[in-house]
Amino acid sequence: MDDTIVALATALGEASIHVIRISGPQASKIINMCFSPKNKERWDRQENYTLYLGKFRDEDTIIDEVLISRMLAPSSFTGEDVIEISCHGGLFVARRVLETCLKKGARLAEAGEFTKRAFFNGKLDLVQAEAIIDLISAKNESSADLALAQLEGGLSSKVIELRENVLETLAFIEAGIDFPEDDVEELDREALSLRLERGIKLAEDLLQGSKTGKILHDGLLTVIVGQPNVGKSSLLNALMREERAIVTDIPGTTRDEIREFVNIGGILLQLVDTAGIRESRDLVERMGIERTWKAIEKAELILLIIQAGENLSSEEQKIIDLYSDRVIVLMNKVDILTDIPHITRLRNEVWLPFSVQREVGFDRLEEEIRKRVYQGSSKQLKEPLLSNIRQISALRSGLGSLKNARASLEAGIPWDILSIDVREALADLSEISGQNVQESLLEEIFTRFCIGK
Amino acid sequence: MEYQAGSYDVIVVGAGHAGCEAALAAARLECETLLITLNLDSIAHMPCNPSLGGPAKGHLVREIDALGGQMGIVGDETSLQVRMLNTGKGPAVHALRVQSDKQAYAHRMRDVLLAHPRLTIIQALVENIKVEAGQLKGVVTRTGAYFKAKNVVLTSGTYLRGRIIIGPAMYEGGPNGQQTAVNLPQSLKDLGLELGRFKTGTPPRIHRRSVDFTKFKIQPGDEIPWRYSFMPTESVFWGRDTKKQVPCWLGYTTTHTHEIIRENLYRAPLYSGEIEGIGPRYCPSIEDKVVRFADRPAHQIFLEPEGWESDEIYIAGLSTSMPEDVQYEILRSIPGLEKVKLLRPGYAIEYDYVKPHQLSLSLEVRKIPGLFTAGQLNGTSGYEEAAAQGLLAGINAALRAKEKDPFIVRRSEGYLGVLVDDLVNKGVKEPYRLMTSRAEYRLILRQDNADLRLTERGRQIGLVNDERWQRFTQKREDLDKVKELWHETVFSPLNQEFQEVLSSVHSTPVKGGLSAQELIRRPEISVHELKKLISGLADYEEEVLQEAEIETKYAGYIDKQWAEIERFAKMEERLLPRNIQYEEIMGLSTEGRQRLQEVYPINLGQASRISGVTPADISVLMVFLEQKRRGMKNDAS
Repeated sequence: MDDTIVALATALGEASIHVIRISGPQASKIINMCFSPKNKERWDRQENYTLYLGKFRDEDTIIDEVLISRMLAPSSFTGEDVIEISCHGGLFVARRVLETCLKKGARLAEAGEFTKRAFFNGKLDLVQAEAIIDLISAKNESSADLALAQLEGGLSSKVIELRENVLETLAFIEAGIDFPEDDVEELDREALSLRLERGIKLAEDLLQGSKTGKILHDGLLTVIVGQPNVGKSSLLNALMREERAIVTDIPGTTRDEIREFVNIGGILLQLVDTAGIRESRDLVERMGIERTWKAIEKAELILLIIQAGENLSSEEQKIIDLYSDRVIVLMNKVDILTDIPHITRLRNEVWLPFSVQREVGFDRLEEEIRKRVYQGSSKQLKEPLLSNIRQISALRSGLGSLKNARASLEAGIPWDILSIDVREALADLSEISGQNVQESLLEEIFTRFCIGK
Repeated sequence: MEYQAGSYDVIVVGAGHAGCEAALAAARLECETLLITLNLDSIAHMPCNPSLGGPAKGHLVREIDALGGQMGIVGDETSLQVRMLNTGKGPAVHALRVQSDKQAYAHRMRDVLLAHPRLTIIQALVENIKVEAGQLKGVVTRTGAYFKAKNVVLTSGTYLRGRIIIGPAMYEGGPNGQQTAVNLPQSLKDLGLELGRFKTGTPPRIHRRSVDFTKFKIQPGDEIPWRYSFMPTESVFWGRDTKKQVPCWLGYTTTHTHEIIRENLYRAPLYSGEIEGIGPRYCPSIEDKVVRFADRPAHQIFLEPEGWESDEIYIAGLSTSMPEDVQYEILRSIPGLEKVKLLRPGYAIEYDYVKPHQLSLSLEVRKIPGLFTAGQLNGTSGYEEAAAQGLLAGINAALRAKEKDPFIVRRSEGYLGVLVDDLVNKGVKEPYRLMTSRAEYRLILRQDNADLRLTERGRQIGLVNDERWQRFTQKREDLDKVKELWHETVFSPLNQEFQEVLSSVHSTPVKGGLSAQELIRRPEISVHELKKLISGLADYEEEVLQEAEIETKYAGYIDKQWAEIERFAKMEERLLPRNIQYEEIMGLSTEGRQRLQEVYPINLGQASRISGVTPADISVLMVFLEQKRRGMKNDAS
């Protein structure tokens, strides 16, 4: 009867291990679609309370090596089949695991929904209960304005435009239904079809522009460039060291470059290793430099490393001139200078004092990258970004509802039924913007239409 | 001085649409019932439109009827014209609208009340609700009569501190020249009830012979003699001969009308700050429409006859509280009304209402057990909303008198449930009007199946009489038979007649066999086609066939809504203890806690619908309930 829900069980932040919990009758079925256990025989025996090691995959792409624990109904936290996936590699991998589960038919759990299920199945552990209440009340304090806060910037206008479109469409339908004798302008089927198409287009654009903000999903395509021996490799190594962590490597995405994935402040960088740039007569080296220029051209973020205190080479100058909107200039080895160099900005590029050796400037780099991603100033981010997985899930579901409405319209289904899908779409979009459906609808009807006896 | 004036099981104060249903329900449930009205000649009066129904409201009338209420029957009997609205928009929103003979409606309703042996009616002004040591004792009238009862239903409409406004003229008064109740609101406040103030309005009435009807577009009734009641009713005026129905007339205001209004806006009480009450957005006055929709060249108006023989005409769409001289000017600027004779001016009325969050879902005032409120007094608008609440309150007062559990209608069972649930949990910010878009299970709450949803419940209470029950059970059996028949009847592709019927409605021909059930799921196929193919269907009532068609055609969608209802049903089953102390529950949000304390929901489902209560609050409540349950177990062991 009930559907299967999934959510990140660990806190939403950087941690070395994240746990994704999935609960409901479809839990095993969903996991079977994306988990290849090391010991398949044991997995197939469906042993309860057992840990399984294996690969978690989205179709052919291996996302991570994970540990899965299986607790079958009724002996689980919620009283339903519960599977918990422990993955390493930070939020990025956790998101991909979560997204894969959603793709395979799970639904993103609402706040407190696991607790709710545990409650209805008489499973609530009283020791846990107190902790749960603490958690929820903390959420109560902080979450009120969260939905709207996340909508700052470019995103809000896009989502709001989409929601307005759907709200208006529903208002037309509902005003026509509830006030048939008033002088209400009614939508005919063609006009409704146009409105739905527009909504679908907007939603698709948003999803494309986002794809977990595409960046959070695929990573921000980043090149590290600079003259030979300026410290590119050291930076790369520094970024990939420690818990900053290699997330995963996806071989074969490009033929001759190796791409590394690095998580900086919750944002995934898809790092492309490049050859040093300088004038060269060596044929092989020139081919490498050619490739570097191509990579720079494609890149969404360029980390240009220069030697602090030295003049810009013509190549460095050229990069700044051409791509100033996505360049961060790292003045490396700033620690060996006696004076902090005076920075003259050429265009829109950002200059950071830096030292790979002494770990100077990493925090500011992280901050700068975050700033660019969230304020939408990187090339890719001209389109607004939907960062939150819940928002994406809501948007996707809203898009689905709009498509259902379009299908119903084409099949000649009457308005009372068709309106259900449009209303669901509005509910989904309202979840993103944190607004009330019923109140907005009435407000829209009464503002837009002159109704009254 | 007070005198003992008698003792009753249930007293109903007010004889508008809520009061009539409440009094009849209580009397029919075998309670000795007293109905007190300000004016015996104003029982069941329609102070506004001479009509019943429309979307959601028509649904309500059918629900009232399905439960054994009176409005549907009297509405049918006194109808001047019937129209089924929204027929092109799907079965869930088909909505019956009936023009009524205002006088006839009131007279017939009064006759029904007077005829009931357990119902006493008296004309008096109630000034005091008597409560001693928290116990409801009865009511006291202005003339000192003390009527005792442990159960009182208040349905005093817009009469609490009523104030009429026509331009600069303002005076204390209820609708239609009635006196107003001044002391009762104070009595309610003294009992700790929180009151609010609303405003509503009504248009001018004019003389039929002063209208040039050639300038209006005629709007006749339908050719099908629709009725509200599931009982075999018919109009006393036109019987079943729909050609005899009285038409309405459609016209428009002009830019000249709007100029007049704009020029006189400084005299409009609505804009001069004279009106403090909040008016409904869905029922704006003409001055409001002209201001808010300034670019509109014309606004639609309907001329509605107030009766079969009456010369009075109601102008729907022209509600106003402008000064009387301006009303004349406005009217004369409308094509066809150049020579208009005004019978009664339009007016605005302000009145006190009881903030409905103080009620339980049985419409009982939580602070004063035994006191029920219903109708416009609860901040709603509309005859139908009032009658529905009156019925519910009357039933619950009677059940309480008999020490039985209250009768509560769920949102998934009826618009009556949506209405009361909204009132209590969401509160009102303007006079509340029911709309189909307020219902989340609209596909299930259809007007055609109101009896299937509610008549059995009405029978359980004891309000559905044998005759109605017999008709109902017959219908239900027939419905099953028809559905069974459709399931069993399979048409062969070789059946010539079958293929001909298909092609007659441009339906795709079939190659294999097809059952009637599958066939009628096609959008272009209706019962009409099936009747040609299955002779046995002629034995069944049209109503039954229509019902079977809707249930079969839309089964997929309907089942989906049922699944959703079931998903939420668990929440309704988790009861919250009566003595729950919200201030002691850790982890609730500040607003959530406050709203929970205000409304005191009976179960988790209701709690989740209270505005201001978050899903996280609900989780906290669940944890709390579970703790409590375990705690109790421990205590017991």
